[in-house]
Amino acid sequence: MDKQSTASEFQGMLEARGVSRRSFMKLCGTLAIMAGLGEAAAPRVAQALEESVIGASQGDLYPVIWIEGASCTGCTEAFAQIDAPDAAAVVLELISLNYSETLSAAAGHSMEKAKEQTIEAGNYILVYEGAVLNGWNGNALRVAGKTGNEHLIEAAEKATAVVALGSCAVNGGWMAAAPNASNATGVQAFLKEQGINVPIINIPGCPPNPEWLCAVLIQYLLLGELPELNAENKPTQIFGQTIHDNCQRRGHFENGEFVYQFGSPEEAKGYCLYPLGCRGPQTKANCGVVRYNHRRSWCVEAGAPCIGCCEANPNNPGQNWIEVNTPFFKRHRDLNIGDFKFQPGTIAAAVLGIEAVALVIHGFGMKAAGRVPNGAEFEKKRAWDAKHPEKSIGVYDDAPKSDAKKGGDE
Amino acid sequence: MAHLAHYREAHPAPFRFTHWVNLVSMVILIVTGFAIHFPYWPEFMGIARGLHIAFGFVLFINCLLRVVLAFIVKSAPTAGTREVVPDYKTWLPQADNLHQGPQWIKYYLFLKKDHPLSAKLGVPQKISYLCIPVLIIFMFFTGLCLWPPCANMPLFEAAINGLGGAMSVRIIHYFMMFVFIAFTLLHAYLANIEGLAPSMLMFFGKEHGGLTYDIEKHNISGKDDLAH
Repeated sequence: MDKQSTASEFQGMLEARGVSRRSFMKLCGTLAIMAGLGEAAAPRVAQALEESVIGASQGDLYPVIWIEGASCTGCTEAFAQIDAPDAAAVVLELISLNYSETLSAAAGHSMEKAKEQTIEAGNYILVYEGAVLNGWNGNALRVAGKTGNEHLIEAAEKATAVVALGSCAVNGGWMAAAPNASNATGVQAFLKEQGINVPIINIPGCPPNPEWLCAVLIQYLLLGELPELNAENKPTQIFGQTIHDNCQRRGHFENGEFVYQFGSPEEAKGYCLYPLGCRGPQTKANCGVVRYNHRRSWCVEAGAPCIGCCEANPNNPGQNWIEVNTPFFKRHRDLNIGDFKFQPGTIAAAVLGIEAVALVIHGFGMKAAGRVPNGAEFEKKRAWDAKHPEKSIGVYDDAPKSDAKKGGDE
Repeated sequence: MAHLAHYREAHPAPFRFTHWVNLVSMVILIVTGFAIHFPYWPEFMGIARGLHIAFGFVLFINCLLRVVLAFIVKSAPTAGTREVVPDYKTWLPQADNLHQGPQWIKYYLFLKKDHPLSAKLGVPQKISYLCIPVLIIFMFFTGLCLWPPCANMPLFEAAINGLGGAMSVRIIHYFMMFVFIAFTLLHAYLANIEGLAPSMLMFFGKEHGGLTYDIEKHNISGKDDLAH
């Protein structure tokens, strides 16, 4: 009875907004697929929607705080482009975005107050965009009289979960790339250092696909569960396979059809971008499946080799996507000793060349010393044996025959 | 008459076989490896990847086989003798090797005129040969890290992260190949600079007369011109 009454009340709500039951179920199906559950889970999503966020029985939307760290705001910009559900629907109907430097209409003291109240009440999700700056004691991100790091600590301590959005938030990204003047780090490393134990969901990318954040929010808000995470706390569903695995140009890779130069006829044919340094084979993300900009296209489809922006290991600041992947158009990253940068192939070929030259010179030396082709004479006695006759290794009492004095290396 | 005599007992047939397999596999792996690193010859890419994986396994299995055979097959502990001992003993430090390391280095740096007495393997050779199986196994492991069917397994995933990510593994794998090439250059140089007899024996089992060596007295004992 209770359930039926809820349903009818909910249906009334939908009708008041001009939404038919049919289109509502369609939305549920879409959401279920985005959360990686498959269309069959649509009724589960529908029930969750009825009983939670949109349901009149509770009324309150789930609070989210979105803090900008050292970011370019690109992750927010990307999120603002989402269309199904669109950004407005997410912000107004799925969540209650209580604080966001970029998206909130309000500003100043009232915003800070709203954030404080949300934190005090607890049970919210913190989305942190951009790197954490340890340099200058966090003063580079000072807002409302507190350092950026204090804001993060405060907000993370009481959060139900922290979403580290974008590669900068995951392990420092651009900010932490050499020379890392601001001593930037990622959210997970920073919170661990601060001893704050809160579930962290890392969503790398530069920018991350907005649908990834949406999928995580939907799964968490509607079904009350964190997505399945891998060892790096990234959603397995999204970051479990390489770009190469699902690339639409993979057929050309298999055929041995490659683009060697931009603007070439091969590029016009849409061949594989591997020789131009494509990082698809070593970068894990489902870009080729989800695609960007309303699922119209994505980097590789648009003709740009993958630059591996999703490579970000929260446990290893060195596995930073800029460090690991530049120069983008070469197959290998640059290595460096101090300020001296070089490609692995160059140094390897140089060392090998030096060895070859050394051997040739040595060969002439061997010839000059009369050791080619017959070798030098064998020593009559080991030098050590001569010095330590009492512990001698060799037995030298019967001297070698006079015509058998020369020997060679085995 | 020069050199110690080269008898087949120094390199029995099973070891000549594994040496051939090593040589062929390494050449194929190096050529295909370059082709995979950058498709210089695009049509070859698919074939190169298949061959590279197949011969990676061949090299690894051959390496294991060689190590196992070292405990089963007997071989001469030095050139210049037909007496045999279990092969693994030749790999471990032998009495003949003791205190001879610096002498070898001095010999090759032209600081010592006469040839150091030694067992089958000179000290620098012995050290480098002991490193090769370790290198092959490490190479095989990093290769598996880069091979998609393995790359997602927890063990390899952890190893990739431990080594600094897929790019680092790729570069390590690449550098290790150069270590193989560098080793092979040095190996071929040292084996043949004082005559091709060692190669004729290793590749074709062709014996060569020369001085004989007494493995009890660790000294030259006479000569054998194979005139029998």
